[in-house]
Amino acid sequence: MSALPATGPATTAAARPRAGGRTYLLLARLLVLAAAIAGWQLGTTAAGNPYFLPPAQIASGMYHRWFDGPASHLWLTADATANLLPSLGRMLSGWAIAAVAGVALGVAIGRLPLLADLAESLVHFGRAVPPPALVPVFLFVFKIGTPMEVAAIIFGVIWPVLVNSIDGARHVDAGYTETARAFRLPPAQRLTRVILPGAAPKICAGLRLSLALALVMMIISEFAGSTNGIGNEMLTAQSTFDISLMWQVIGLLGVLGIVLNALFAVAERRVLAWQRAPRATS
Amino acid sequence: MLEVTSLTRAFGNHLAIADISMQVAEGELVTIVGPSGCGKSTLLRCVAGLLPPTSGQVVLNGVPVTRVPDRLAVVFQDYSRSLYPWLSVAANVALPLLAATRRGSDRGSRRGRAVRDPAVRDRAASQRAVSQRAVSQRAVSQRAVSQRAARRAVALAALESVGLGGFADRYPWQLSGGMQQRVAIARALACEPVLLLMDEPFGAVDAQTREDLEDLLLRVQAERHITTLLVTHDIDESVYAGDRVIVLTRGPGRVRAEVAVDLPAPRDQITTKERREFARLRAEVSRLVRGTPAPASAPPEISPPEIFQQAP
Ligand SMILES: Nc1ncnc2c1ncn2[C@@H]1O[C@H](COP(=O)(O)OP(=O)(O)O)[C@@H](O)[C@H]1O
Ligand SMILES: [Mg+2]
Repeated sequence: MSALPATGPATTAAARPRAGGRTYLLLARLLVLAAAIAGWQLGTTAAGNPYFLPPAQIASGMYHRWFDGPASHLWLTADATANLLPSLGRMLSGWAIAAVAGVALGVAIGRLPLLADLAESLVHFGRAVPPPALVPVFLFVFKIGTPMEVAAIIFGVIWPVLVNSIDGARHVDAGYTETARAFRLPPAQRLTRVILPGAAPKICAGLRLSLALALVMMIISEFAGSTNGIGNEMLTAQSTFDISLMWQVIGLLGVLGIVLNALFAVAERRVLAWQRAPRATS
Repeated sequence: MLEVTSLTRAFGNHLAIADISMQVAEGELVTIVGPSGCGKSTLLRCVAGLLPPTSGQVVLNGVPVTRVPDRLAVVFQDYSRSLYPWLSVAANVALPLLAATRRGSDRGSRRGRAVRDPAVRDRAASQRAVSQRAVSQRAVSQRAVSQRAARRAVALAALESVGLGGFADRYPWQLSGGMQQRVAIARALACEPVLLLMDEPFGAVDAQTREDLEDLLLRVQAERHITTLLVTHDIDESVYAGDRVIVLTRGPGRVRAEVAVDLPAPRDQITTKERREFARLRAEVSRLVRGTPAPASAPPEISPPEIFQQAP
């Protein structure tokens, strides 16, 4: 049977209701979000409590504080350049270093049983320590400043990458690895063309978790000690009773979390396009 | 060409194959048939050097097999776990070529082993010479590009030869099962193997596709005379495709009998299977697989013409 013509319509037919379902779901989600924001707006306006600000006021405050700059600076204000950019830079570099180190170590541990025997209990210990507990230690070692914050982010977020990379690399389908052996693939090619792609779904799951955690570690490390950054702005707001700035920072963190997650999802969909493929037989 | 001597493999206390001996001549297509679980895959993996035997040995062209030999190709039953879904069809087919070229150079230089094949030795020597010359980064990258183009050309030719010329840039999961198994065959052919091992290659496709793939295999075999070991649990297939059938016993697998197949070439799904020899061989292999004794009048050793004379 030449099943190509048969699979063609079958896959599109299967995809169509799913795509339709997704559109409805998206609409429903937006509706819930809009209703929540409207409720928040109405509630806070009606209550007039100075500690709880209406979202429209928070949003316009955020806009004027950070995104009202000249076009030549990509609309970023001086405040954004002084605080938002350093925070983002530290977060992303910490996350990137943790990602590279975590994947490298994780794949090595996952594929080398001897290394796994030696390192695995260490990994479980490291993972069990709540990341914020490490911040005071790094504060001692590095003093206040970017190295301390980046180090705290790295050690805070490396664990999900590490644990998932170990798991992914270890459980690459034996069919894939045996084929690689049967065709005498050299070790470097085996790693780049078989092990890493085979472990990629797990690795991506780990990276996504640690990206969310990186935002948490960014703000916590800045609370512990910093001279700039949005965490530092939050501390300033607290000490000067600037309720409006506090809400703006909270709003900004929420937006950052959503944007980062969305960007990651786009990248992940590209890298793992093959995974959404229908599995013919198994 | 291939010599298997007293091959035994146990998993823990469980014996998978026991004392298997057989020989395969250059260019021969030998089918191995036996009930499922009798150790066919184990036998093939030992021959491929993927699995060390518990005792006994495999000798390929005079060299004992201790690891996967060069210029060996395998077609596995489960194409969905043997073709890489993240690589295009062409990249899947080209992958072993990458291994073959790299292997030649690293054998010659780093491992310092004696290289028997003069072609491989020459290539290794020339690659070493090139790498010893202080080549600029750009020349290296140009060479890499041209090597990649060469590998792709070989892959495209292999795909063409299995009738998948237009599917190079698809992904395996966009093709039907039969087409995916053609890709696996193309991949095996692309590295110009001296020994082709196939483990129930057509077990996961429907009957019509299976016949097409059998004919594809016979056509390739007629053109290239690659020594082939085809494992199957399908009795028709073992007789139709094989120059010789080796029947294994229920596990632990031992050689129960060898049956020479004298069916004329080229074989044809309809006319070959119409022949009385085919029916007789099929019945004989069938009895051997089931372990029921053959009728006294037709012992397995008798060649086909005598059978017809004796038949009532
Ligand atoms: N990796 C393994 N570990 C333990 N037992 C195995 C392994 N591979 C195969 N066996 C056992 O060896 C026997 C033969 O298996 P196999 O060679 O796959 O048979 P076949 O291919 O003929 O169906 C079976 O009983 C199976 O359970
Ligand atoms: Mg098997």
